[in-house]
Amino acid sequence: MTSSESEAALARFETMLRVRVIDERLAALGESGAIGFLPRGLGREAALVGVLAALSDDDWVFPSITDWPLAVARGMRIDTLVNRVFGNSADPLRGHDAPSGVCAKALKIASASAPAATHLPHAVGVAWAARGRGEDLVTVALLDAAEIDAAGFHAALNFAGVMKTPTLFVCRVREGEPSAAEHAIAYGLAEAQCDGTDPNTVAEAIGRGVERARAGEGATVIDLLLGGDDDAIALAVRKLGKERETKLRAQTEADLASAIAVAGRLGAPDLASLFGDVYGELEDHLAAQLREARG
Amino acid sequence: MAQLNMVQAINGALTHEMGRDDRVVVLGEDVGKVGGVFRVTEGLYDKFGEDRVIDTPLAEGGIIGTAIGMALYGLRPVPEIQFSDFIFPAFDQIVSEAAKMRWRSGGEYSCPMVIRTPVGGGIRGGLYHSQSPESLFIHTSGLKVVCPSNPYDAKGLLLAAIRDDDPVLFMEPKRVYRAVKMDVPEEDYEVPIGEAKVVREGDGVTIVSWGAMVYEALTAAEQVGQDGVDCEVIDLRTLWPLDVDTIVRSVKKTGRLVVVHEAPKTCGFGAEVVQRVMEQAFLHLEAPPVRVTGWDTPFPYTLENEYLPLAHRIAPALMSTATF
Repeated sequence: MTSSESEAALARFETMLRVRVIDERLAALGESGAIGFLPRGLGREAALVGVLAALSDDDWVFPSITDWPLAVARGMRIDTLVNRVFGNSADPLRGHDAPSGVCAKALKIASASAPAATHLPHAVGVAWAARGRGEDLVTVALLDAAEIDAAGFHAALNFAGVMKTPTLFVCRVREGEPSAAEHAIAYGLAEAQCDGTDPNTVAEAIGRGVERARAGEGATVIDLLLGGDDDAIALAVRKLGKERETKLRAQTEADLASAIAVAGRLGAPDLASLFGDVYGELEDHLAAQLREARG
Repeated sequence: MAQLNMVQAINGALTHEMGRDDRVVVLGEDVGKVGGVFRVTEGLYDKFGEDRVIDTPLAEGGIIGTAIGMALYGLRPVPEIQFSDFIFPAFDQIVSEAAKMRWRSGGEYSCPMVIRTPVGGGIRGGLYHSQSPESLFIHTSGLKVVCPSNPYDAKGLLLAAIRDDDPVLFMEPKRVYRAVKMDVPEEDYEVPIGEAKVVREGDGVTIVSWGAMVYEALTAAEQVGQDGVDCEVIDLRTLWPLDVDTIVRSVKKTGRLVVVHEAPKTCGFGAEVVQRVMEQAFLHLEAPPVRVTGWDTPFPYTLENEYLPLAHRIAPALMSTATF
């Protein structure tokens, strides 16, 4: 490993640690009742960071609801994320979605949805549309093993196979959980499995799937094998060393504390925001209900 | 001007818009080489190719889910669900995803797509080729729901729907598909979403209906007209957003309301129409509003003419309302 590669690898471990600290702090806010419930992403840190490392900025990511910390790893400011989970007047989603519903079109992060596996066919549709427009991008749909049984998983693999889209289905699998990759053969897709606790191993495996997709060879279903909740982050901490870990943790916690203090002072979005974005324009019946709500 | 039926008018609208806007793609079960089970998409595959007219697996959730992805990217997909009776595997994608995408993303993403699907009975199709599930979708915020009754409106509404920035459920009354011919301009025109049309003027009783039942309403209106009851018939054309103003204006004139629809009575859209009138024209009413609808049963194969709110059921309701 060259020194520059080593630094790139270390940067991934740093991002993992930031993701973990954000997860800990904001989930604690959820448990305290200060904000709504946030599903934890424990143990998925290397998977998130490794996947993003293998993608270009133009590639789309379709997260599960446990993947909300991914937004920061892809460039969202911490204060934007904090305003999002507070659902306050500075929340880019105007308090509409639950805290886990983090999305950003500019970052090519699709909107996560609580129903299981419904986001997977969307990844196929975007990939198909982009290929038709001559755009060289891939789509990556993240899922957890619990979603394998859902209809959306099988529909998405079916359509990806038939339409031969540049899509990666990336499933986080813990010990004892079923494999997503073993379903690939039924739909004519490629499959892979790798250690999901090391971001560099993940990036290499995802990178191979991305290469296949960009070469027009279709979709791949990849199992990322997770360990316990702390296995991935323990590796990151070991790699970073105590001094670097302490410094980064302190900086992230300070950023969070500052953002949380500001977010907590901001009020709720305006009542009108409840009725906005139902449609592209405020329809008459919603305008009437807004007047009624205002009293 | 060509005389076209509804199948031809919809086909013409799709052909026109696909030629005008290369973002428009059609997908669904057998919509390509076969041209659709009702041949509505016939010829599109040859004209526009497999990249814009896509034969998909038979998985409605996959059809709509994939179309949502296309819309997120910026295309204008027009997925077809072969019968509205088979739309339910896609219900989650429609109500949880397409309908809520703009709202839950704070306007970051939108789903401009038109879900075409045949609805209604009267073709001896039995319970899984005859239903009218509009209320389930109207109840979902974020969707627009359209149901033309004739070829002219079908073309104009479809063009408006494809150009709309929100998801539109486009319900096609299959009983009308080949039963009615009328002048349909070749040129580009839109019938605006959200505008009902008064198709028969009168001052005795207001009838509100849509789709295939508009013809039954008109037949019943002619029948009771011979007994001196002069009915005004409103074809909603768009079910949601509802054109309340046109309905209320009419009821303020007639003082009497009969709503006719194929779907079951309980929680049918007629109940919402009646309540809107109660809220805005209560003091103008001379009789209780009445619903003539399908029964609260599954749609029958044998007794479909007893199930459907045909003219022989509408006319007595008009008379009793007029003489209340």
